[in-house]
Amino acid sequence: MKKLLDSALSSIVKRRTFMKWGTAAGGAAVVAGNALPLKAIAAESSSEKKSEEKVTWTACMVNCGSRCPLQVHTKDGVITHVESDNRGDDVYGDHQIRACLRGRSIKQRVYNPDRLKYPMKRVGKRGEGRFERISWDEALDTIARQLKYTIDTYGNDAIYYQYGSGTQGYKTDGPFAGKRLLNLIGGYLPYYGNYSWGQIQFALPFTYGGGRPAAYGSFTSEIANAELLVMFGYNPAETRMSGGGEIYEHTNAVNSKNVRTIIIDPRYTDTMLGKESEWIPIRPGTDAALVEAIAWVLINEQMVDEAFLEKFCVGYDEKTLPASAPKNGHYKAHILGQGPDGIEKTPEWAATITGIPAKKIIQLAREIGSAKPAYIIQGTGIQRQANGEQASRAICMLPILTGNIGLAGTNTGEMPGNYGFPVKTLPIGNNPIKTAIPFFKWTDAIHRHHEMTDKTDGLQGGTHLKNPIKFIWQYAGNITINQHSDINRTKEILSDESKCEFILVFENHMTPTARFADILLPDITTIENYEVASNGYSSGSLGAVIPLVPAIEPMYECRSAYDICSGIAQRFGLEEQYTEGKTHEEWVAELYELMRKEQPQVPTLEDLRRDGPYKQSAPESIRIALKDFRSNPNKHPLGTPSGKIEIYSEKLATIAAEWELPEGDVVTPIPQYVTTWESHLDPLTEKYPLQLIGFHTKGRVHSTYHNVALLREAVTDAVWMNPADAEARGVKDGDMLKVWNDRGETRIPAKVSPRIMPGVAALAEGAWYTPGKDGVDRGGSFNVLTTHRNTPLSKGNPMHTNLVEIAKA
Amino acid sequence: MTQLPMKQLGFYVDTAKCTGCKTCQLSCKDENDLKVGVNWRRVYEYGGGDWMQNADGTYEQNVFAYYTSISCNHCAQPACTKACPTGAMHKREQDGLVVVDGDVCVGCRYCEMACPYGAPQFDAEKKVMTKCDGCYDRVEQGRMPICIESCPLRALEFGPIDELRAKYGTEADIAPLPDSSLTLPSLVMKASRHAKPSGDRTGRIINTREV
Amino acid sequence: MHELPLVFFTVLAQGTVGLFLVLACLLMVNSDNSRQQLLNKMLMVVLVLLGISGAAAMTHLGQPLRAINVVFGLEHLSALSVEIMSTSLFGGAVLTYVAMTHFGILPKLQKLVLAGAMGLGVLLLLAIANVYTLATVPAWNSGWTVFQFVMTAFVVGIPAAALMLRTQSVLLGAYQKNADRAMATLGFLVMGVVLVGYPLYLFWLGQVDLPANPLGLFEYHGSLMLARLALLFVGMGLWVISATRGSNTVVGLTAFSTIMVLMAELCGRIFFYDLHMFASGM
Ligand SMILES: Nc1nc2c(c(=O)[nH]1)N[C@H]1C(S)=C(S)[C@@H](COP(=O)(O)OP(=O)(O)OC[C@H]3O[C@@H](n4cnc5c(=O)[nH]c(N)nc54)[C@H](O)[C@@H]3O)O[C@H]1N2
Ligand SMILES: Nc1nc2c(c(=O)[nH]1)N[C@H]1C(S)=C(S)[C@@H](COP(=O)(O)OP(=O)(O)OC[C@H]3O[C@@H](n4cnc5c(=O)[nH]c(N)nc54)[C@H](O)[C@@H]3O)O[C@H]1N2
Ligand code: SF4
Ligand code: SF4
Ligand code: SF4
Ligand code: SF4
Ligand code: SF4
Ligand SMILES: [Mo]
Repeated sequence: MKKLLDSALSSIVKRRTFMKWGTAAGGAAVVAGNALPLKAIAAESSSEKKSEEKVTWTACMVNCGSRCPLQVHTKDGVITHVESDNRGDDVYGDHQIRACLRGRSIKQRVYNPDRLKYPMKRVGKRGEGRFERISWDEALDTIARQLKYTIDTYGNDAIYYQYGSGTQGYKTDGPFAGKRLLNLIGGYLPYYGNYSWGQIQFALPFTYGGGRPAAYGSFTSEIANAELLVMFGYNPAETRMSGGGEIYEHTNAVNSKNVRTIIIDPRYTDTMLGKESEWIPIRPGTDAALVEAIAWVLINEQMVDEAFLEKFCVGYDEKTLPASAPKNGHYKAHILGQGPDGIEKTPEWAATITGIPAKKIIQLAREIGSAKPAYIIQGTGIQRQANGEQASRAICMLPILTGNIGLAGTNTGEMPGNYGFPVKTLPIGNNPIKTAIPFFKWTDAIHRHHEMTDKTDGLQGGTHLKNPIKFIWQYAGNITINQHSDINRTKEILSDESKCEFILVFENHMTPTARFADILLPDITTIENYEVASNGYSSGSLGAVIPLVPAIEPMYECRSAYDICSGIAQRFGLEEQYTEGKTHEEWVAELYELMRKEQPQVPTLEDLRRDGPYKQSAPESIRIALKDFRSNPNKHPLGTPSGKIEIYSEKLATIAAEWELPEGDVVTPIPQYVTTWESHLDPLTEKYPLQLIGFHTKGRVHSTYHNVALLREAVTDAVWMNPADAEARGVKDGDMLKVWNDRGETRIPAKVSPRIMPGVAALAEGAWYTPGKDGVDRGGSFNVLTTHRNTPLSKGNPMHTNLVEIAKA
Repeated sequence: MTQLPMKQLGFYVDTAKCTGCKTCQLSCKDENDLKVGVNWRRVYEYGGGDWMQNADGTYEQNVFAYYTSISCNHCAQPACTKACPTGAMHKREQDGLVVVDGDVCVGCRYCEMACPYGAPQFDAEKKVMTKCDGCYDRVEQGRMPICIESCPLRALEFGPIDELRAKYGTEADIAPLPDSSLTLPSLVMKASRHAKPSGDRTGRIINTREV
Repeated sequence: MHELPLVFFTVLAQGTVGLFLVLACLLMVNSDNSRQQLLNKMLMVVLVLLGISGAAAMTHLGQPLRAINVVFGLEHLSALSVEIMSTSLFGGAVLTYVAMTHFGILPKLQKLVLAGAMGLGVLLLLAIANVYTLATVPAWNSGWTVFQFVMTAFVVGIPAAALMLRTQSVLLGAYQKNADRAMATLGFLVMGVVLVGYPLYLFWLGQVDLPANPLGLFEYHGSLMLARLALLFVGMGLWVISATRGSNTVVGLTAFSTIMVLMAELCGRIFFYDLHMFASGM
């Protein structure tokens, strides 16, 4: 706090801000006083504290999948501490939505030395991080001028709305505010898919059809009805941390019936810790091989549900194989070695690929084949692999083969379903630009747009790009540098200022991406803003309407994206159209009332803001994926061409025939294991013998919250290494390491632990890229090691597929 | 010795539920404005196990791990108060909570040496000892300590220790915790399926740099 | 390592007590008046050294201005309070004795006061050891802690006393030579005890049930232990050999020896504090 105050006071700030920090200093002193161990003189000071303290309902809005309410306590306009949802008696089902460690430390993110204070323009070379303070007028004029120039010189499709998930929860600000403006001025180049689920969401519609379930299966509450739970790389303890969301629901469901739980993951994750019945470590990228061997056992031991397959599926065997398919193109032939590759997918075959002993595979297959019902689920780390589409489809084969679909206690093999409360969003209008690029291909669209087609690079809604990306609109994202693959290559592409001519960044902090901005705008944080949010996309069965009321005044010269976009609209003469004469808070109130017309049970906005989130449990009827289809497939056909579950997809067969794929990339009509580049079987292992996988760490949300020192202390960044791999390299726990491949190098300490399998190393993604003078990253930033090469089908991000070598630095 | 407290308060820690998320640690730090390096609540990662490679390159293992979230156990026989040369570290009569009087403490750090749980945390800025005080100001207002209320997994409870013991038993000897007979902690634990007894040498604290 | 001040305090205080005890013994059996006065003056050095070690200890306190608060701990016999009180009482007794001899106060009682100071010196050695024999710290909680702390007094005290006498060899004449030889004999015995004792201590340490191998905690520990034994051997050895060979008045060599053993004990003490490892390793 002191450091923050010092920097606040030493900078040239407006009088108003200055005064606010004057009182902040007083407030801080009181806080410190209260924190003294002998909080004594207790009665007196605490009643005094009570009378002056203000409590405001707001929320943590980052992209972890949840959305936790926070009660921000302030005194004289300065945050003292935060509490989360502590209302009621916390009965499961109507439980409190408890924030995790990150939400709990939001004070440190808001009062952070990295906070941006005023608009800035770049001076010096792009990415150098040298900026000069400018006025808001100058900033908005520059942006408007550059937008007009880009539109006039190239066209609206040269403006790219970059991925950025920093404020997932906004409904009327942030991305909505930005897209509304861009649509008003003629549109922008959109992307489809996302860094989270690009592969699985692209692949599963071929199996199950569009809509739900195309990434959302049954709710985790269904686990309580299952006899067996099998989780492939699903790690809710670390990636669904909210005490109102999936991990809490998961734990309750498992514990309620002591459901036998098998977890397949190269890491011994925090979801395990003895809560699992069995951990099966697997080599990264080989889940599809494991599935095939399980299928081999199921078929050979007559444990497949033939009746289900015949009635509900296409392409399991001869009987339901589409006419267009080649002979023996069906799944069964492939497994039994009668398909084109002629390989029988025996447990022994899979053992050498996956690292799992054959007898373990057989045992697992028998368990899956005999447990009824079985709940099978996957996380999305698996699909963030070089052929993630195949792996994610393959895992779904297990519930399909065993008929564990559409019944109580089953899941489709996908991520769990969730209940999102339908809160209304700011209308964003229509984007006239119809051609979209895959989210992962924007760097290509800067330097080789002319080569990109639907068949080579997965363009949708068009076959070619007329223009390269000339203007990047990056709001609340660290994608442009930190979170996209191959930072060194990205930097190289962006450093040519004649290619991408302008980068606009809205941020709270001086992030690696912010350093690459041409104009850098200081956004207010979500706790300085008005909003009504819904629960996130991973909060289990508990839906919620969550009020955000500004807990503190906007700091420094920060402005919301809505205000900023209104200002830009004004420079286009479109302010009236943009705001429709409403302030942002008025929009929030109006949309809230619209929602209440449809959901009259929701309290008034005033009550909501005073009493905190409104909670509502998901109806029972929506908790089981494909329930309707299972009960009446004719009345409720799937969105696939056949209306059935397509084990053999004719659409994929067409793609496989028509698309131009680079050497080594494989698309097949049935889900099957493919040995990919940078797998443990790649000859490159001679040079880079370790498979490095990423994971999403409890210590931050991607790169957000990285700059909170208390979190860096609580969850230190380090490379997980098995003792055997460490010993072979003379590495001891805590040693500083260098981790490298041909794309880059990072420095990071070792965490030597038996919790990772030999031959595999793991590093949490999201640490801030911090190059030293020699260009080598000192921050443990994962993406100096990842590649721009995309996955075959969705053209997505294979960020967990990396071969590296590690040595003591 | 001073007389027994009127009502000894203590903690229940369910290591079977705990996921090691550290929300308890952070909520405590936020409430009490603790700096980096001062952790009134610490979450120890304990684990071990071996890997064996088969002839076909596949692996067998018996890996285990679990977390224990520990603050101060407000022991019945505190090593810290016994050690303290000033009496700054004292056990409150009304609730048995062990608290530092920051105005009396000379910062000799002897309590830190004596406590087997690593509970006393020296504040390098204020140059006095600090420690979990059981959130007694909140408790006096009829509220729960903030760490308890924050746990997303509901793995922590707080209350009169005899009630907690009646409800959950008396287990307090789980590795890496020391033998409870040393200080008689006001602590009840539920063992994770993997939990090892105090004194276990098959595992180790894995997250040494985090606690 | 925040205990560094304590490393200096304990080693210096123990060495000083040792020095005092040797000088006091000489005083006890002495009957020559001028020698007595000279020896009494030497006790001033004890006071100065004690002051320095006390100051070192104070730098370990976060709030040295509140040091007086340590009296409160006497109520429940805090080992640290007792140690600090013993230090003050010992210092006070030495000071009283020095003052009495200097100003010629109550000559008949002087020896009694001296004897009292000797007793307090021994008490201080035990009190320091008592601070560290904590039930919760298994690597400390043994007789080896007492052994080491007492041995430091001898190892440092004897050569230091010899050094003091050698600086006055002209005045003291043959007495000094005899005393030096006697001390060297004693030193020889002590050297034998520690050169056997310290390795035994390390052996014992290897046997204690601890969460981590105490001998493999830090990479520098191996060299630290070797350095300790080497310094001891060289420091004590040089002096003992030269003394028994008859060069009983050379000041430089003894000074060198005293510094060597002091360093040896500082090494040993750093190692000792590093061992602070709870039963659990928490
Ligand atoms: N704490 C925290 N939570 C988060 C986020 C965060 O940054 N921090 N981010 C959020 C977002 S946006 C997303 S998309 C989700 C991501 O959630 P997930 O995609 O589920 O998370 P990951 O951590 O990438 O991967 C999950 C697990 O897959 C394992 N894994 C990796 N490769 C393989 C493989 O080939 N096979 C198998 N079987 N397992 C494999 C990893 O070891 C890891 O334990 O998390 C969300 N939640
Ligand atoms: N190697 C590797 N890379 C990955 C992944 C991986 O598993 N491995 N995971 C990928 C996945 S799944 C995802 S979703 C992406 C996430 O990548 P991003 O969407 O870039 O997410 P963050 O890194 O959290 O960046 C969000 C930014 O928003 C800022 N921010 C937060 N709140 C606000 C606000 O109120 N206003 C403004 N203007 N800014 C705000 C934060 O400071 C932060 O810089 O990363 C991907 N990158
Ligand atoms: S679970 Fe997600 S939304 Fe909730 S506090 Fe943590 S990071 Fe924020
Ligand atoms: S908050 Fe609960 S689950 Fe998380 S580490 Fe603490 S005790 Fe464990
Ligand atoms: S845990 Fe440690 S600090 Fe707390 S009462 Fe027990 S001995 Fe004292
Ligand atoms: S540091 Fe303070 S509380 Fe701890 S023993 Fe010393 S005086 Fe007592
Ligand atoms: S009881 Fe209070 S002071 Fe103690 S650890 Fe919990 S939150 Fe921190
Ligand atoms: Mo994501």
